[in-house]
Amino acid sequence: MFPIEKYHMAESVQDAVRALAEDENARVIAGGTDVLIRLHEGHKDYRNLVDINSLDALRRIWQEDDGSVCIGALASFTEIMDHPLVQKFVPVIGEAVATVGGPQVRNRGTMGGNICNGAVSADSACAALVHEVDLVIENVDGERTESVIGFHAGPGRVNLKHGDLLKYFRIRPENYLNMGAAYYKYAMREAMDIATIGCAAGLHVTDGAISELRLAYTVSAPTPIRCAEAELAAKGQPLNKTTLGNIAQTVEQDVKPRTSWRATKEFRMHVIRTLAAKVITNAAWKIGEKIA
Amino acid sequence: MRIEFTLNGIARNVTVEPGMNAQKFLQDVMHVPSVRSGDDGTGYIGNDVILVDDTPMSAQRLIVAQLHERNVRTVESLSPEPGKLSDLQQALVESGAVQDGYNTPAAALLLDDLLHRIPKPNRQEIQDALSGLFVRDCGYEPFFKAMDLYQARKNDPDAAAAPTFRPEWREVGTPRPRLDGVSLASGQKAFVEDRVVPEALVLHMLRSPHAHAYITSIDTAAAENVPGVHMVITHENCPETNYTQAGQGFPEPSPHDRRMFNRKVRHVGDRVAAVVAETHEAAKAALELLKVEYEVLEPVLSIEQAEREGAPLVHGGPQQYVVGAPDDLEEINKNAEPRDGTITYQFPIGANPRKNIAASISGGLGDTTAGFEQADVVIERTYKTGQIYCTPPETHVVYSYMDNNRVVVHASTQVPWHVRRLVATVLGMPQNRVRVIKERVGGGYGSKQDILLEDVCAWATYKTNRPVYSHYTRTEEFTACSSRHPMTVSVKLGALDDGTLTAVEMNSKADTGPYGNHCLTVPMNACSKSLPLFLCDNVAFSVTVFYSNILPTGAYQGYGAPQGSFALQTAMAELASELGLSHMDVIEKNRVREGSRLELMRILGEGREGVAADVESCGLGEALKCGAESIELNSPVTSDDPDIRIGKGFAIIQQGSGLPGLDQANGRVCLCSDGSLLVQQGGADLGTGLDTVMAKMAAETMQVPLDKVAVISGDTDATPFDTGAYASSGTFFSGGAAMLAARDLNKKVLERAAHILKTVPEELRLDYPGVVTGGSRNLTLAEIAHEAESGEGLGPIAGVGSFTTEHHAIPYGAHFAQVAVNVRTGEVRLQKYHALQDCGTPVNPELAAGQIYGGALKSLGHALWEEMVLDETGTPMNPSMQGYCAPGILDIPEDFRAEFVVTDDPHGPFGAKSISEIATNGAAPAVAEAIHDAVGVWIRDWPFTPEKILRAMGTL
Amino acid sequence: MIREFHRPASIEQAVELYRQHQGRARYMAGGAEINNPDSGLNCECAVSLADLGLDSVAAGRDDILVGVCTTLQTVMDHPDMPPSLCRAAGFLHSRHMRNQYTIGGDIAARRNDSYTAAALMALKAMLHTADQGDMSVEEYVLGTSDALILSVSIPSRTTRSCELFRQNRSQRGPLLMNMAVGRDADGGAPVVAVSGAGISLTRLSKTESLLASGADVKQAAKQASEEVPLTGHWLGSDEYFRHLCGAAFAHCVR
Repeated sequence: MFPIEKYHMAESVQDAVRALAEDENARVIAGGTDVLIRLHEGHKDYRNLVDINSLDALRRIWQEDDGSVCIGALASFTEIMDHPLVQKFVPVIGEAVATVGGPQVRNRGTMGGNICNGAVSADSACAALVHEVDLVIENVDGERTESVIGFHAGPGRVNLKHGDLLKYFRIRPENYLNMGAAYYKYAMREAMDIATIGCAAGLHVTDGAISELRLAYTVSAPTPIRCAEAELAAKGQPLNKTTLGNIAQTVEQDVKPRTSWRATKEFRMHVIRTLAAKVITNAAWKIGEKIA
Repeated sequence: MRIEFTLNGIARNVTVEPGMNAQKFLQDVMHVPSVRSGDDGTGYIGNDVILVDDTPMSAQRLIVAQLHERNVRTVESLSPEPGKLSDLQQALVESGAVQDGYNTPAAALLLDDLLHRIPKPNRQEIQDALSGLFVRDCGYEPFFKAMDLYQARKNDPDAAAAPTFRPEWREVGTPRPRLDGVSLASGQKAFVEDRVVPEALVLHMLRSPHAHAYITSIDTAAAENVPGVHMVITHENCPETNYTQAGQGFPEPSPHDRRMFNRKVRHVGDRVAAVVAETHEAAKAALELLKVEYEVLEPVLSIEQAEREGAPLVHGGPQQYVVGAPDDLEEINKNAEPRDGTITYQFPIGANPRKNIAASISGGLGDTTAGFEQADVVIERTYKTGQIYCTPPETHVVYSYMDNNRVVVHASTQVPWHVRRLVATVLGMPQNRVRVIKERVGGGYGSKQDILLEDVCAWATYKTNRPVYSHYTRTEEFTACSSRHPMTVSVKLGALDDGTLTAVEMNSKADTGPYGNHCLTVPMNACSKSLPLFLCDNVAFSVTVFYSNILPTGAYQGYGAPQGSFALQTAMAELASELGLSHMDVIEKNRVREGSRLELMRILGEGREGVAADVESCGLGEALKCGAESIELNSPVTSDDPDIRIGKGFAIIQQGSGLPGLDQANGRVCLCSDGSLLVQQGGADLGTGLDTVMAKMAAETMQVPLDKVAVISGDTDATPFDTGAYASSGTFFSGGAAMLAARDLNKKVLERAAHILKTVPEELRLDYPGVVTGGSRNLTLAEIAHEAESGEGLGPIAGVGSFTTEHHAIPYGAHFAQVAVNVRTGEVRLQKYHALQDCGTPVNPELAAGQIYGGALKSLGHALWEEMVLDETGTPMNPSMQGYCAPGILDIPEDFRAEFVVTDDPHGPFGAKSISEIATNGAAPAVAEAIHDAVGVWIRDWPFTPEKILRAMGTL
Repeated sequence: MIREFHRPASIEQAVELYRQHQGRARYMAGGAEINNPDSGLNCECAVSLADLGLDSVAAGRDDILVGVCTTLQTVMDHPDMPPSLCRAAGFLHSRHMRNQYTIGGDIAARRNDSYTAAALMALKAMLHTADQGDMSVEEYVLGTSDALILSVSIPSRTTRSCELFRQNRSQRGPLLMNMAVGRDADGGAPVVAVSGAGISLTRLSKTESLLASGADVKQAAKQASEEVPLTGHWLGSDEYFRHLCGAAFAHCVR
């Protein structure tokens, strides 16, 4: 049993933000997986709950007139993976959430929870970084949009103020059109748990050269990150093995793996470099390009 | 390079060559005796297992540099206190898993690791843990028993290790920890290699690349000039003496057909020269610089080639006879080739080296011609056996040095007195200036009955006046070692329709290879240890033994009996098949029983006239009944897999207990002044547990607990003469001598007690635990011994006994096999193997069981996988453990059992007969029959490879 | 005889050391084969990979990345490892040796009786190297590259599967026949890799074509037995080895 002191089942978004504003100790409980883990660990922050599970509006996945694909914060991983809009326009998000745990976890986990908790093992965060996803947030002061870029301030910390409720994610067309994107994750069994490294790549190719590369990693850095140096090194380069090799080497400047793992730095860096080559190759294949 | 590491919990740092082999480093630099090689650096055997960061690994596959900052543990780390064994090690000792003990430390480390990973491992997990350990002595099954014992003792500290036999006795028949168990299980110094001083010279041998050649010139100048080389020995400077390397009683029934080095080389690997140097590097450099020229001759590489008209002669030199020379000897020697050297025969052995015949003999009873005429069915079959090796974990090794003007030889040998005699003869010195000390033997199985290194090392010591050490490489343990004589045995059986035998004929040809050690006696034994299993009035045998240029042969556990048994027992199974009768019925109709008189023994002496024998104990009936039941012989088994056929078979077997009329053992049991006993005997414990047998017999006879008895053995200075540990003489002869000596001591103690108590010995008796009763007061052994050594005493009391006999005490057995044959691949899997043995009283039950498993697995080895293969030049193709295929733990039968059928032999001490060789005789015929039962084909030559089976089946 | 022993702290250092001592140097993972007197792998200068910690395993959805220094025992025990590779690692019938044989060493030694090479070829496994890019295990094993292998990437069982046959004379005796038949999950892209006594590791391409075209097992087995390149060996006649090859193939595709 969790030591719960106060519990409110929100009836609408407005109701939820109001309840949150009233109590500075209140926390949102959504899909439940990450939060339940925290509660179980006895975090005292998680005793006053605002349950938003009945807000079906936050489960929707739809496309706006301008082509933006929107994914509700409460859409489950399974709903996301299976949705035709995701599969057609932003398949890498589906790929990423498909790697999370097993079917039961995917039925209950949500992208909103995954990203908001700032948990470093957030597969969807990687895919979100590549699509430069917008987070549409509401609080008592109204609605605002934050970019996922910069949303993660540090391990476990995100740019959500108290009283904020994440409603949905928006992927604008310029962030998905003509872009090949892929996600892959490796898991290493450590003594007590599993350590993972995930990588997403978004690729624009023009005349056999990389016009833009977006490369994101999760877990290996303190927060999920985009690799600025590697992306710079890739810009304008021919899509071939040499370029892939250079990108893989350059990634080392962007990514600083945790030192707490059993697996050594060399192996983790090897996995990180291997992932770069792998996801970029897969991303290229998605738009019919091959590595020369 | 500076290496820092932890060894058994203690931080060490050393500066060493980074590339030094970790096993050599640990043994030679860190002085951990138990991390051994034995396999030329390959780690195949597993004598070199260590724990690195708690993970078992082969030390030989590591260099020192790889130990840096690691935590290394060896068997010493298992002891809870110095000199004490862990529960696991204790369980290994008590379950019979410690026999030669050479790699018991490795086994202990592997099993200790297993128990940390899996507290209650199952059979498969134990097999997996020990999968990389090669053991030749105990057939692996005792390791499972050790693990069972270990688990059982967690709940019940008194859980028994093995069944007890003969409850009327305290020690004999009761499982007790073997006397040398602590030292072997904890890896203490106990073997020859542990005795070598750092300044010892090393001896390395240059060996012939040719199977048959004359050495036309040998230039040692450059070699001798290598710094550190003390001497180079060749045929030009070695003693002239002719001898045989066979460890047999003098006069040997083996020809003296070699010198230390010969002008002619007769096999690939034959001795060409020995280099004696300060270091291995110097010796090896010198070997490279020896310039040898050969006149290469055509080799003969088989019996067929040797007996061919006009075949090259292996020994064409002049012959000499001590007695019994043929009349035409001068004529024969007229065109003898002097470069071949002289052959000296102690007495006639039917040799004719002009026809490449090393020895021959024949004999018979009754009239086989008439017997065959009488028969309703006559079958004739020919069986062939291959060249098979002992493969002990410890290769041949010797260490010798001068002590004043005496040569001291530390040997891994079965025959200390034969070694002393040979060394004295070769060195030309009296025997009282040679001392041979048998150390613990890391496996002998007959190969250490032959004297392969002691002669040359002792000579090197004598000439250089320095300690000399020589240790066979694993390759030499194949190319220059004793092996089983390949034989071709033709069996002709005549029988009536009801299965009664009317005539039995065994005609054998054997290949003794380049030298004649054991050339008469091994092939002879093929007949003498198989024919007496059947009672038939008409029996004939002939044995012809050929020289050839294959690798050397010699003594090997079973000593001809496995070959003879294969032929005769398989022939009997085929006969039953021809007659349409059950094999068991035919066996029952013709087999020997208790009370039988074996007239056959008259004609089956070992190079001398034999004596008919009465069978006074025979457990065959019980063995056959129990085995047939336990394997459900008459219930066929089918497999779900359409490619698999399952079949069953069995064979009866016998051996002997020593050589009546030839062997002698002596015992001396001394009473120490505190009443404890010191047994001094020449008998050689080669891992068989003979020391413990002798101790138990002394303890039982003297009515004291076993822990009051200590044994020293196998030292020609300090212990009395014993012929040697071969022909299964240990329990019967050496044990018998211990018993006689203890009886003598018992008698003398009562006499002395009577003197003290002023009465007569007839009034007194010695009771447990070492107390003389029946007099005016009781006297302890301690009191009597103390009095004996006092100023009024008559001197310390010791009993002596000399055991010789004309009586045979024949052990018997029946082995049953169930196999699964894959008809597509020809592969044979061993599903069951049940060995029922009658050894009279099992003196050390757990060790005896280990002997049975060990012998059975060796013969399963020669039946299915083992053979030495030579190419057309006589060069061995597979002189390595990996190539030779002796079985490992993953090859053993899934259901492997050794059971005792207890009988009581009136001649054996405490009713005991031998157990150490017999179990090698049963597998080949039992498996041959099982294969026939499964797929309908008889395979008549070793080993029964998948290809032979597929061909016989017509698939190929 | 190893006279120099280096322990580089990074991959770059390792490659640099190797290049400096080219001709005398070898990379040493566990060292089990370099230190095996029977391997014929001469090495004066050892560049140890021990401090690089390349003994981890990273599992993905479609493949598993096995570090070059991962021992065969770790491969056998790993819950995410494709079962055919676990089995192949277990072909080294000595548990304590499996604690020091690495997958990298097993590949790099290029032994005919390699435990994992045939399975890896059949699975179309790839090698990631430090200095010569990516190449297939097949390309490495059948070629002469001296690249520093960092990891082996093996397709997961849902992507590609593999059946194995291996027979030795006795369980720890010399190899008679070793075969691996790999196929994609949908049965496509068959690879038949074989090695044995007198049989160098190779692919049976005609047999692969037959399999790909849907020929029946008997026909393909016959092709395999005819196609296997024999050089003769004391362990058996050519006829026997051809027969055994056919039997091995039939076993793998049953």
